[in-house]
Amino acid sequence: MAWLRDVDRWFIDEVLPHRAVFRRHATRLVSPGEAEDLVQEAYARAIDASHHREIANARGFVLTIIRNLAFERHRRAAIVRIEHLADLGALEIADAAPDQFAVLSGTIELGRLMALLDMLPQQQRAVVKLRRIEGMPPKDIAVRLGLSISTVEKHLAKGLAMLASALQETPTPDEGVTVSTLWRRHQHQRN
Amino acid sequence: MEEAAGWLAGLDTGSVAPDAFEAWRAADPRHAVAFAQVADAYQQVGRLRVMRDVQRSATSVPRFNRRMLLRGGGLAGVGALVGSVVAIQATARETSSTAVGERRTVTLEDGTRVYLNTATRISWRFADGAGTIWLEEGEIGIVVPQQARRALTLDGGSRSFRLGAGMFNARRHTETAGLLVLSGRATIPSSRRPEAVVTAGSIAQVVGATVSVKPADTIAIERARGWQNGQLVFEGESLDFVVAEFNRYLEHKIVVADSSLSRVRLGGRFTSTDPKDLLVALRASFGIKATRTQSGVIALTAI
Repeated sequence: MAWLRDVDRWFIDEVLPHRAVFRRHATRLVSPGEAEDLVQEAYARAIDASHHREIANARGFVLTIIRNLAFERHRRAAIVRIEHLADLGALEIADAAPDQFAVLSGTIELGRLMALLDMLPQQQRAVVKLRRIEGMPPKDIAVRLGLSISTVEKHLAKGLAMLASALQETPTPDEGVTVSTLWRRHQHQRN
Repeated sequence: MEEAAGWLAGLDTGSVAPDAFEAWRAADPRHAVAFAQVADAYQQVGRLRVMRDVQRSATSVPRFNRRMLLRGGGLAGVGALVGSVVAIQATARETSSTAVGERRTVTLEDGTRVYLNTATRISWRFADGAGTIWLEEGEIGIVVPQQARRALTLDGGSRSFRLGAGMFNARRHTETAGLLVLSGRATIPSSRRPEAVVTAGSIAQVVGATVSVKPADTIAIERARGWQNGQLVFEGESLDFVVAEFNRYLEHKIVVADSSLSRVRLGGRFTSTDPKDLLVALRASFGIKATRTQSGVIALTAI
C-alpha cells in the first residue's frame, strides 16, 4: 500500500501483532476502562520513534512504554486502586521473547476477522467484501450496488473503522463479541 | 478511528489529495497510529481471499437435488437406490440405517420421504391409519407431502411430535433431541390445551422431558438444508465445533492436538465427506498443520 511509510509498516508488522499482550498488561496496570487508552497512548509514542529500525524487540519496547505511562498516570491520579499497584511490581519482569500465545494471536486473528466481517451491518459488509475480497474498483462497486461513489466511500470508511476498533479488543476464547457491542463501547469511551 | 478510516477510504477511492492526507497524519502521532490500525484491518481483510477461494471450490461442486439423489451418482445415490424402500402395510417395525459417511433416502408408504444423514438409525410403523417414525440416533430430514392423510408422529426419545405437511430436520444426541421446522408445522402432544405449535422457522429442543421452542438461527436452517446437498456450513464457530461436525462423517477422525488452536474460528461452506478443503484452508490461512498418524487419525497442530 502506497500510503504507508517505513515506520507504519514496522508498526503494523512488529507492534500490532502483539496487541493482545499489550492490552492484557494494560488491564493489569490501570482500570479496564482506561486500558485501551493507555495502549493507544503508548502506540502514539512508539510510532514517533525515529529509531524504529534499531529496535530489536518491538514487543518489549512497547511494554516498557506502557509501564512507564502507567507509572506516570498513577503518580498524577488522586486515587489509585490498590490491585493495580500490586501488579506494577509483578510487571518488572518484562519478557523478552515473544511467547507461543503472542505468535499465534497474530496469525489467528484472520479467523476472528472473518467472524467480525460477517457481523458488520449489511451495506458496510458488502462494500468491504467487494473492495477487499473481490478486489473490485470503487466505481464498479457503486454501479453494482446502485450507490454514488461518495456513499461507497462512506460505507468503506465506516466498515473499516468498525473492523479496526474491533481488532484492538482482546478476544476471549469462548465468548464471541459482536462488532456492534465493540463499536458502542468504543463510542462510549470516546465520549 | 473513524477519521483515519475516512482518510483511507478517500485515498482508496481517489477523492482526497495525498498532500492533505500527509499533513493530517503529520499533525499528531495519534493520527498515524489510528491510520496504521485501519490500514492493518484493510490489509487483513484482503487476506480473507483465501477463504473465499476455498468456498468457491466447495460451492462449485454440483448440488444434488432430490431427484439426482435418487438416480444415483456417488455414495448418497447408491444408498438412495438401496434404501428406497416403499414400505408395505405391516405391523412390525421397519428399520433403516446409515454407516459413518453414508447418506440414504427412504420413502414411506404414505409418500413421506426420510433422508438419513451419516451414522443414523430410524424405524417406523404404520398401523390403524397412523404412522410413527422413531429416530434412534443421528439426523434426518423429513418431507411430509400435502396428500399424506394419515397422522404422522416423530418420536425423538423422551418426547414426540405430530408432523403436518412440510419439511423438517430432526437430530438426536445422547441426551437431547431437536426438531427444526423448515416449512409447515408440527405440534407437541401433551395434556395441556392448546397444544404447543412449532411453526416454520422454529426449533424445538428437547432436554429430558422438557421442550423449549424458539426461533431458529439462520445458520441452523442453512445447516439443515446444507447436509442434504453434501455441504457443511459454518459461521465463525470454534475449530473444536467444526472438527466435531466433520468427524460425524469421517471414519478416521480429526483431532485438535494443540489446545491453543481452539481459538481459531471458521466460516464457510465445505463438502461434507471430504476434509481436504478444510485442511487446505486451515493450512493457508491459519498455518495449521495436519498430520496423519499410523492409526489413520488426522492430528492438527500449530506450525
